Amino acid sequence: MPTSLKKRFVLWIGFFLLTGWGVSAMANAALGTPEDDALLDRWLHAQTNLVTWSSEFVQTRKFPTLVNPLTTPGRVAFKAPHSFRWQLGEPVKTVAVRLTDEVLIYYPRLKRAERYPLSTDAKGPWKDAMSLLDAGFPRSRAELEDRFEIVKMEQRDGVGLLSLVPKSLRSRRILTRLRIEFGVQSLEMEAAEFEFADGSLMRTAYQNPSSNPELPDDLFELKLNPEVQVLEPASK
Amino acid sequence: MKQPLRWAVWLAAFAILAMGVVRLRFDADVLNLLPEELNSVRGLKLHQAHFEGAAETLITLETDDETTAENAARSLAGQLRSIPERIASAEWQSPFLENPGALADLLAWMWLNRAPVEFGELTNRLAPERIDQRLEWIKETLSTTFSPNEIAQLGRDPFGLSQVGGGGLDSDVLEDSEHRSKDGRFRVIHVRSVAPLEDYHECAAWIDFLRVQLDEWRNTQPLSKGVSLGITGGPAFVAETALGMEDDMRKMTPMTAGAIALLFLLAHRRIKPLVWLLVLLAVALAVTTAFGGLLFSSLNAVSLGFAAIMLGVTVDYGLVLYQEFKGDPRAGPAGALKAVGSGVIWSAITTAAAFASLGLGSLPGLAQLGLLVAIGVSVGAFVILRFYLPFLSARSDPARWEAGATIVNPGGKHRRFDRFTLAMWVAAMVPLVILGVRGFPPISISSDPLKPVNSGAMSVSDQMVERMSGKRSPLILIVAGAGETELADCLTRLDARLRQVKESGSVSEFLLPNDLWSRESNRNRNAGAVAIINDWLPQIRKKAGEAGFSEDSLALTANMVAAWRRAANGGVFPESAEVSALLARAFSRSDAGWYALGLVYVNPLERKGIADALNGALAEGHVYVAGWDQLGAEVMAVVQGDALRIALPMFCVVLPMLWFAFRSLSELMFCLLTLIGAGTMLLATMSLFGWSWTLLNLPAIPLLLGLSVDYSIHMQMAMRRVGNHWMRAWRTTGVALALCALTTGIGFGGLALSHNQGLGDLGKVCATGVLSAWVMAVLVAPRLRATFRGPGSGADRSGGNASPKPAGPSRAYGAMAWKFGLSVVRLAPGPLLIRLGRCAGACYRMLQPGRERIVRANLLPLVGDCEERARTAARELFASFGQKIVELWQFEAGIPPTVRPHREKDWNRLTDAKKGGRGVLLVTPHLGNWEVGGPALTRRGERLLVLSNPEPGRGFTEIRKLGRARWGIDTLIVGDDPFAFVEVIKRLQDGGIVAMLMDRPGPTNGLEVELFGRPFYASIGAAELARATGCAVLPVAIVKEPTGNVLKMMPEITYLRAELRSLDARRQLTQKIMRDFEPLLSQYPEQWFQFIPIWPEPGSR
Repeated sequence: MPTSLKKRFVLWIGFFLLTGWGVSAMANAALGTPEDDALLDRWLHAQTNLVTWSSEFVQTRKFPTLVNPLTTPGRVAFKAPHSFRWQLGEPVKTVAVRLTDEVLIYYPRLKRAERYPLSTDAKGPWKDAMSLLDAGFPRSRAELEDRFEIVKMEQRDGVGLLSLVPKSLRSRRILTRLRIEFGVQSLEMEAAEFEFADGSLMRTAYQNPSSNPELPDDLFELKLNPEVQVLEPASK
Repeated sequence: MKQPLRWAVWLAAFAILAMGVVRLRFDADVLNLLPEELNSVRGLKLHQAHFEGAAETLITLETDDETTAENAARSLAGQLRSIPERIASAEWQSPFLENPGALADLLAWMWLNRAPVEFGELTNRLAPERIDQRLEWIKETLSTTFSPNEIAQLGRDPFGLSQVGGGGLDSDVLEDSEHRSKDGRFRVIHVRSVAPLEDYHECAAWIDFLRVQLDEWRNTQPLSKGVSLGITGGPAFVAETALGMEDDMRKMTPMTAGAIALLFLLAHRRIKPLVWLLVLLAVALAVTTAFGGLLFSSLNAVSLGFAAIMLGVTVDYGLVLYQEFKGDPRAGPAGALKAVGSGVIWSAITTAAAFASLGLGSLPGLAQLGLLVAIGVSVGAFVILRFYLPFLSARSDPARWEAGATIVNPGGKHRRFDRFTLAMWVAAMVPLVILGVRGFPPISISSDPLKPVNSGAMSVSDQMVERMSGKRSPLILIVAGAGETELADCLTRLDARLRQVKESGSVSEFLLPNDLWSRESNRNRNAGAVAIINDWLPQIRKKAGEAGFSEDSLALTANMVAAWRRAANGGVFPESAEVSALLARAFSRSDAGWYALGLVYVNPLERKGIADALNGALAEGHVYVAGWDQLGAEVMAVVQGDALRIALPMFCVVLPMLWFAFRSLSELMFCLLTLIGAGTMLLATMSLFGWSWTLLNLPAIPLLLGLSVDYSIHMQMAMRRVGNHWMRAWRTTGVALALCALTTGIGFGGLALSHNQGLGDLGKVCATGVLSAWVMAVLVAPRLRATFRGPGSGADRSGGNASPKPAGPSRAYGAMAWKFGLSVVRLAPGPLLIRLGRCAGACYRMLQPGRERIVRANLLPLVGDCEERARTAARELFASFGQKIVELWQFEAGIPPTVRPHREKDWNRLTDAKKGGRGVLLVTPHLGNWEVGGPALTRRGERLLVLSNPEPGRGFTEIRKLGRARWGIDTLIVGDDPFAFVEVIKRLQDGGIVAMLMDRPGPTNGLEVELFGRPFYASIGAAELARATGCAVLPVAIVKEPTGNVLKMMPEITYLRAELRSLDARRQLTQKIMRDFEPLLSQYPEQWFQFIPIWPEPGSR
């Protein structure tokens, strides 16, 4: 498979994960007006109080190769500092779980799992994508700006819109822009939108988010049956 | 030799040497130093010769941020691309990133070369009746998958066309890892020249050109600020290595010559001898270089080191000769030559033999070096011996030399065992202690000695490896096959083998271009399926549109089908330049075969083991590991295998040479002691300073051997001449050798500054070896000799001749050699044996200079005391003697000789002499082949009795008698038997014929007469027999002329028998006989075979 394409889509995964926990964490940008800037600081401050977070969502994927967008419902759960769980489809078709030093993606219907290591010696475009998340929950503007250039922070109809661009040229060649939407009053994340270099767009609209809910620990574990085939695509 | 002929020979020699110089080329490829049969050497050579990557120049850029790095790389590549007349390509990123459309061409190529079964599965996937279901599945997957692979592929490649083969080189090439580091701050631009870079001069010019471009870019582009640039790659290495070595060679020879000049001036304060010495050294160097051109045509980098070694050794001969000449100027050049000439010759022979034995080794570089030094030392010795002192003494007043002569204190008090000797002994123990404590120096199997020191290209390369792949440098595999199918099979087998090795953990990753390889048969068999897919394409488009897929999703599919269609129609396939370039990097084809390139990433700790891991494939000769890491170990294994092969013949040659040089067991032992001691000192020094034996410092071993022998021969000979007085030997030869060691040591020491790490090692070890040899040969061994043998013992009473003066016949003249000769002449063809005999005679002369001197002295009166004529005659005499011996063997073995009389009527002289029943006494000197005249007489019905002295050794006399008896010739041994003459008298009184030799009397029958105006001892036997019997005395001789053996019978010598009662009358008769021979001896001096001194010194008898 052409590696350039691989790289591009690896960052799609980064997007999913970002939207899981980090989208809300990334929005401490510097902005057009002092009010916007203050809003970003408020939002970033709110993230420091976030220990767990969960939400339902509807994800819309638009591809240049498809005439119509694809829409899928799902659920996401986050636990500081790094744990998350994604479920796509109803019934569940895909599960992504962040373990200590890897991300495990499981396809129940196919009885197949893919393991992506996040250790320091992991290599390849997947690692690039994961590195966007690896910084953890951003607690400061400096941490956010270490990875992203804050392009714009604005408010529209009670929604804060934070536009970011990856600082890494390599990442930027695939992911051209990232936009996070959160409530100005609630400081709850409402949506995240990724724009890719090939014109694809992925938007996740969150519904019924819940801050610091009680989440069972086993939610962030994934026990696979022996018959599940486990692959390591990143090691190829 | 006549003057015109001599000129013609000189001209021819000059022309041949000039041809050698014209042929000469400098070979800077370090791989040519190594045995080509080694897997890694072959692999590296194949890689360099056949793969485009080896010819690429790599320009590296590094900045603090990746954006600047990318922009800078793009900008610089753009500038380079703007010079298309010089630069063929400047690739700053993967060509497939610059032109993604080429991917379809690449995938089409890979698919069409797959097996028909796999291509059939693809065809089925595209069948219109199946694609509805597939497109639905793709949409569902795209909406739910997290898999980057699926997301990446499915939208643009709904039919999985990019899933071809098992990955490998394709994915590696598509990765941009060849052009950028992971963090993007380090970039590499691959640059190729339009014109092929044939030699290192062109490589150097190309690198200079690139440097100018880089400077220009830096000066004109603001974004170049903060960008650090570097140049590496094949052409940069070649230019750097070769220019460095060329520079070394250019500096080293003048440095050596300068050291020689400086030290010579300091020691002797004379210009003329220095100038002549340098001129002759230059001549010897030029002649040797021309020989090198004739023999090898190209001289490699290491063998160019011969110049320093040869100069270092040859200058010794000049210095020793000059010191001797200066020490005793009254003896003149001849005296100095007489004193040290044989030592120089033996030293040259042993040194040359030691170095020539390197030719038996497997390393071409060392073999060439060894042969060049052997030639150089031989040429140098000849030039110095033949010309140095004659040139030096020409038109010079000997008194001048006397004035500057070193004064040797003849009366120096000599102690057999003094404090200095004790200190020497103690010092000699130090190396043993060091070796005992620190052990022997290790043998390094690294290939680092082949690399340049402080190499810019190398440091850039190391930096590149570190930045681009985290210090993971892959092994390059070259896979070879005789044809397309064989190479495909090899790749398949190797792929399977590497998978096994990967499972074992030795290999972390490997890339083979299996999926890229052309398989024409598969392409032909897949043509039918291509036609079907082409027919389906409109339906595929329609169904995809109905399923919601845009035209973009089918771009890859459509482009691939178009490429297949083009291939089926005989068009260019693959079409894109990017794919062609990719294939050219992965494959190569030549008349010798087809080659493919693979990469293997090995666990660093197991790099050495890769050869074992791939043993099966390597053994079949289809896979070559082109890695420098393996090279050192492989070459060192060969070197260790060579050790016995070289050392054994070396010692087999050198030891007999030393024996011939000294002819003394004790002196031979002192020489060996020098050798062992010098070796120990060298090893101890190496151990002390942490040096290792490497690939390139191994020539130090024969050099050490050669110089130890050289110094030892000179010093032992000097000790012999001065009666073991070390101080006297030191003041002449010792001082000269100190100068030699210093000049040679400095010459080699200069190598330590070489651009090449290996040459630097060689210089350090050789300089240490030279000084070690000097210490042992001059300071330690002679003191030991003086201690054991005491002063005054062993002095040459002849006053300085290095070799003892031969007093008797050669030791080879004996029964065993004679029997061997008699057997050989019965089997081998006569003309061949005659030639071999002449050659053997000439060789004997060269090996026995003392014997030649005697012969020349014997011949001087015959040629009017002309040295030149005597030398020429002596040369011919040895060859003639070899021929005579062969003819004598033939005669004694029963092969009839041909002898014709000078004039037929000469026989009448014999007939007249016999008249009246008188016996006839035939007298002859040792002129020509007198023995073969016997059958001429017996054929005429005469019976001949030959008088002879007993032959040396048991049974030899009987063999000779038997040989004559075969022709009816009787022999009477007249040595010590007092009654022998009774029988002779009886035979003469009976009218018989007796033959005897006149010019070599026994101890009791010699009588002083005059020959050529000089006192000469002739046999009185003829006169005594005449007195006793009144026989006719007839002088005869058998001489060799171009037409064959000619019998010269001179008129009978008349005498009054009654007068012979007085001794004076008998002396006069003897004188008369000898005087009759003078014209013949003058005419044929080269046939007067006298090998012991014949002219008595006044009062000696």
